[in-house]
Amino acid sequence: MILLTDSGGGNRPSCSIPVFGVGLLGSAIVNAVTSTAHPRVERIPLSWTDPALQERQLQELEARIAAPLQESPAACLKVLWSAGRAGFAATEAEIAVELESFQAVLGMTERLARRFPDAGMGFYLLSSAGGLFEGQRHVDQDSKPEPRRPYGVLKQRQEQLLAASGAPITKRIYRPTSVYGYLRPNQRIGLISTLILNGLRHQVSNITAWMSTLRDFVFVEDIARYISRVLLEDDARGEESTAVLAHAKPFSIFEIEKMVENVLGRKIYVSYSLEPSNQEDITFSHSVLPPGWHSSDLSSNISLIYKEAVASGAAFGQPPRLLDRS
Amino acid sequence: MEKVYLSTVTPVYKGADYLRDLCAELAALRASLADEGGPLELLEAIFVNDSAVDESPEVLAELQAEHPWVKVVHLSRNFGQHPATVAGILHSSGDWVATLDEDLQHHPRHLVPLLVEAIAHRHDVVYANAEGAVHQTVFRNASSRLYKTLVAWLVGSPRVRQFNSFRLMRGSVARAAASVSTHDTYFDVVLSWFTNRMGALRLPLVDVRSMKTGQSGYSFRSLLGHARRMLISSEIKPLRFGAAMGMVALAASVILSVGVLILKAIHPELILVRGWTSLILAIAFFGGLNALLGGIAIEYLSALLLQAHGKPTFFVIDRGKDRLLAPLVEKYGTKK
Repeated sequence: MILLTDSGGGNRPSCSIPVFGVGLLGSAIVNAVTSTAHPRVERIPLSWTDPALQERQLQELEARIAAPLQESPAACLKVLWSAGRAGFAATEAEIAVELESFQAVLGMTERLARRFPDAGMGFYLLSSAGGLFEGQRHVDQDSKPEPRRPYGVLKQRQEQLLAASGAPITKRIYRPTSVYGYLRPNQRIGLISTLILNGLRHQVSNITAWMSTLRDFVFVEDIARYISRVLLEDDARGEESTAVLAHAKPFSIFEIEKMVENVLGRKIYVSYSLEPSNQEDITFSHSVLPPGWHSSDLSSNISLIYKEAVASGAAFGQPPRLLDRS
Repeated sequence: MEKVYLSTVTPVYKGADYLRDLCAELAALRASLADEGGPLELLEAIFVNDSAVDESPEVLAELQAEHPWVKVVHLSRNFGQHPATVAGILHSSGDWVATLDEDLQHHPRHLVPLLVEAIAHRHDVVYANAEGAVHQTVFRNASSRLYKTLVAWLVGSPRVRQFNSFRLMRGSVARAAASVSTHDTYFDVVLSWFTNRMGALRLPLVDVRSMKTGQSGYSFRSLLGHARRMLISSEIKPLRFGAAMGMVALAASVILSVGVLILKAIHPELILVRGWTSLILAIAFFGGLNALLGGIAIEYLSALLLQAHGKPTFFVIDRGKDRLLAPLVEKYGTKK
């Protein structure tokens, strides 16, 4: 995990922002916050597999975070949960481990909120629209989450635990759709990056969807910009809120394939899965988007990812760790 | 209950006077489908603001605020009806997608009959064709028929006569075709790259705008543009015919050359004008050779162009949901 300590400035109070989960999304948010507010950045070890060790590490972290809250009543704490070690295809056992970690972090936040009731306390949960609304089309504000696999159940359970918390915490839940972003070594990559990477390497991409399956894709940098703005500007004393971070334009996998081919300037090789469970469409209505949210153009972003992958050499480095569409 | 979703796409350029009525008709259709309690649902009505020149954006903003199922897509500049339709289709998520004009010439009450026609005859695309005269003037109707006949002959496909901007398409096919459509391809020709299950249904279509204002949504220039795109996206049959004629001329010239040589050897007195025969044979030979090589080069170009345009090697489709609409077919019956 990464602890960001923002000393404040202007109307902004000093604030601790522990970020749990620094994969594709978490690291992009850390970068966005860092480039805007220039906080102190500390990488702090946190075990995801050893509960006893994790408990000790969280106790140390709690003590560190409590210190500035004791010193200044105006200080604040904003906990960001962007962890997603258990991917879309996670098993019951894998989600149980992640849920335990989430409960431990939420517990730590609740204890701090009760110790410092006057401080601004916020918990920002990055959930998953794909996991919660799998198989639903035109998801709007009235749509109810109906997860179909353990991953979605995990996200729903995390949301429920946060909502049920009686501690004085401002609860903000964001549900990104399928996130795509730049190629980074040792990070899980999504559908779009997989197509680009395998296209560059003349390899076959195995896609867990049909050609006509509809999905919604959001660029990691759009989410990072939006969440960093929320983290820096939110006073963490408001009402709880839930929002979907979506493009709100459905893309068929075939359309994505054609976009990637256009950028690469050649045919790419794709093998589609004909599993019925992967055929389900997930699309979103504009009405679910929060104010201030903007999703950038997908075809331009594919071009950006391609150029960055070639320029940085990422396209020719290690193979992707795991193909996932979450 | 498992649902079958219908999306509509309407490009908007000068429709402020008609959009409220169109939306009211769509709302009525949506409500009646909901009352019936069947699997069919009007999921969304997508309006593509193609940099409209009237108050359409304001009207669309009001309609979007009134109806959560109304989606508005704003294009950055005026791209034309064809790209606006493609943009709208790419924003749709229905199992079936219908494209309607903004001026109620394509009335939403025809959507269910079109769908019934598609299901009953296992079509992926159904065009609405006018039962009678659409434009209320003899000249406009005659020129429209002549235009379609000419283009059908040029591209060698009688199906062109059915093409109409009022069409119902299977969503997956429509979106795939829209994905590979460019400014230079004709959308309906591209649709035929993905399916050959196309049909037409005769409906009473009336050009309301033309009747009210005397103006048509189509100009001579736009018709020329349509013809150009259709020719570029098709394998142009007359050119292939030209290549075949070249081959015939080449073969004939070779056969005649042999005949003349034999004649020259056996009965030289029969050739009265010296040089004429060899000249004609040389012209026929090289003319035929040129036409043949030109035809081959055009075939190559055509293949490359279609590949560049994204003509797919194959496309996978799922028509499994059609069974849900069987009761609808029984209820409404079909015309044929």
